[in-house]
Amino acid sequence: MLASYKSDFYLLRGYLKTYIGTFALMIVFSVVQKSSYFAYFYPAFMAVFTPFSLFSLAEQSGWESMLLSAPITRADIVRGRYMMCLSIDLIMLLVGFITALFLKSDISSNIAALLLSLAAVLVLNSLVIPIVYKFGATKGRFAVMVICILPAIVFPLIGSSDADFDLLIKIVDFLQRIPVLLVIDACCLVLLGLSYFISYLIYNRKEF
Amino acid sequence: MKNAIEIKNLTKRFDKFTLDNISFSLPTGSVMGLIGENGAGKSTTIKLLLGLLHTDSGTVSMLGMDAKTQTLDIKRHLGVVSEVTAHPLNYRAQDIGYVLRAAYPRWDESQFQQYLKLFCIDPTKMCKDLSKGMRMKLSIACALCHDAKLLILDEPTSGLDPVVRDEVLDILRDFMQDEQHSILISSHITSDLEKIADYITFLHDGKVVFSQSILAIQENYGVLRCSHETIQDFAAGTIYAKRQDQFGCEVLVDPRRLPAGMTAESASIEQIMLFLTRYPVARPQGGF
Repeated sequence: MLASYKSDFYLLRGYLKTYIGTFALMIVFSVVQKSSYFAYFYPAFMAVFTPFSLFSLAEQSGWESMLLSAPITRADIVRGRYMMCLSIDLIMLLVGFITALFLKSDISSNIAALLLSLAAVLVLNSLVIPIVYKFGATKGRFAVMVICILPAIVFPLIGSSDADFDLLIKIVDFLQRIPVLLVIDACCLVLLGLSYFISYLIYNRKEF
Repeated sequence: MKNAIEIKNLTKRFDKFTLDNISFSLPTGSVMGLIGENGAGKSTTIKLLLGLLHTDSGTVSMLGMDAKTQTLDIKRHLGVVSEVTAHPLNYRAQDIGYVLRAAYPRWDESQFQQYLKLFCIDPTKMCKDLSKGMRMKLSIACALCHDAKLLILDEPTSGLDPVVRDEVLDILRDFMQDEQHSILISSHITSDLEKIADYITFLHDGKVVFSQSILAIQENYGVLRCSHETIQDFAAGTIYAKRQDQFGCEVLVDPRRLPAGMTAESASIEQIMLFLTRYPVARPQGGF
């Protein structure tokens, strides 16, 4: 797995400056706006964006064929890919958390925001990575766009009355409790495990 | 270990092409050239050996180990150079070493650095800034730095100038100094194979036409230029292929079956390939 992880790191290295620069900009926005929204938004955004970059770079270079001729299993390659995507997101989340602490010293709400963002990152990685394994970077983009747009279509349809809106607020309030978020994050980890298993099955059948 | 590679009845079906029941073996300590026209199945065969494609039927063993159940053990001793397995252009030469060091238990970093120095490759240079010859030499360095016993090379000298090709062949000869080392090399440049190969396997349209030693090929194949009337007297099975023109014909023959007093010139691998691909006469059931 380490070889695969290192391989992905070096593939992405050229893009890291852009990622860091853009993230730094998001941090500045957060500080200027006195809101941690931008600091947490970017890791969630990268959870969608990073797999596409990695898969595109790997496909273009033919490097995976090289890795597969080395003593590395397909499971190792998939694991390394997941670890790289999560590493980037988690580091950004941590920096976002530190920035948020600087902006607003209420630790419990910051922890809640961190756990909520972590859940978003885990869910997005769980959904996006198997899709890209199945359809490739180019076709996978369309599938992911549908997933991202779906909530914006579904939520207005779920409820349009004030009662529905109140219910939604109550649900959101409930979900922001730290014990609930911990349970949600645990479920998201299970989802990530399932996602890895699906990705492995897809990748194991793949031919080059 | 008698054979470095043993392929038995290997089959792979695609929509418009089938690698059909191929079998051949590479004896340990030998170099085998894999030849065939474009689309004959050479790269498919190599991909099946490397596990990049899944077989439909047949067995493959490498270095005395079964390719399905002992894949990792085989790959620890396998070096691969291929156009398909290219290096990412945004990698530096040293980055490739860092990644492969984590993959191969017996990776020798000092040997890798020595090869980089020998090939005049700047470790900090991006692969996209290296010439094609440099990238090929870098691939070969990667293949040689982890105690590989078997090299599989897919078009390693394609697109290289004669000087670099000669350097690459010298490196492969050095590799073969150890009698436990073997090489399977697929190449269109048959002159390179004639310099280095001990065996030749010829693939055509997904089938093995022949798999023989160089000595046997030299004994079994000759080229003769003669008139149409002359070849009427040849015994059955003498002519493998015939190319006719208005002045006469050029035939690929079995020199041992020629009438007394007639001799054929030794056929080069390129001539054999050309004749058998473009101008074959009926092929005997067991192949040539």
